[in-house]
Amino acid sequence: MNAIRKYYFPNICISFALTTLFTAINMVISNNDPTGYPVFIIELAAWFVVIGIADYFLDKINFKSSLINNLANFILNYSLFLIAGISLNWFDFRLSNIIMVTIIFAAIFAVIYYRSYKIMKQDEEWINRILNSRNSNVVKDE
Amino acid sequence: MKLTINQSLDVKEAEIIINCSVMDDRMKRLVDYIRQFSFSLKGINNNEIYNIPLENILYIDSVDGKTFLYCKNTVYECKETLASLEQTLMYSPFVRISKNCILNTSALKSVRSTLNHKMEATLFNGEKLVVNRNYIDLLKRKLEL
Repeated sequence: MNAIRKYYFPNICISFALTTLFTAINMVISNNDPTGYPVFIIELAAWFVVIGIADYFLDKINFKSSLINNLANFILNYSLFLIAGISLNWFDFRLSNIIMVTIIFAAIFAVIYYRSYKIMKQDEEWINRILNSRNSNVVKDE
Repeated sequence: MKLTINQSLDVKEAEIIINCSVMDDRMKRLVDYIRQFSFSLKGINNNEIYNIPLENILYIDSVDGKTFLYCKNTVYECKETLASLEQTLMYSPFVRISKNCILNTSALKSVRSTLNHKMEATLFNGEKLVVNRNYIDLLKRKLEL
């Protein structure tokens, strides 16, 4: 299960993302874009890059609590998503659309959040295992 | 590796002798670690300058452009920047854990992941520090040595 989460799942996701992106770029370059969907894929990829950069800078801020940090992260991502979605015409500004994309956005956000948390937990266990074995062999001076 | 410690009250100064066939990278790193024990940082407290042995420093923090050395009971100001200290302490147990903090891993008791994808490091004296996720791999590599 660990290997699936660590290797197979990310490999599948990266392969799918790159295939979709390069296909979209190829369709746009060769002027074969009757639906406008390839342009949407490229815009979405650019949006993910923007989100990554925003997350990087958000990480540098020391928030008072985890809750405020998570809330700020969600609000920032969601605001950028709405701005991009409306300005780039990904969806019409109607209540039903907003509800639908919000649910999709929240679901994806939760999956990414859970995966990051699990990775962090594994790192925590690894570090504590090293520390426990090291500290059990050392008598600390008081 | 064979480790021999000869303890005697007749010994005036501790001496470490390494007998090895090849001075490889691991051995060089070990020598660097040992050398840190004769290494100290200059810290200022009440307008007086002190030489603080590395093993007495729990962590180094930077606040408003000033660098501080945190020991068990005292905080000293240091005139060096965090970036230059990071370079100086590259082959020591010290490692950068966030934009403004360098931790002595010898003082680290345990870590706990938090819900905001960071880690909370607990030191032997009970103090808690934040480990930013960008620096977790650095911490892991340092502990692997």
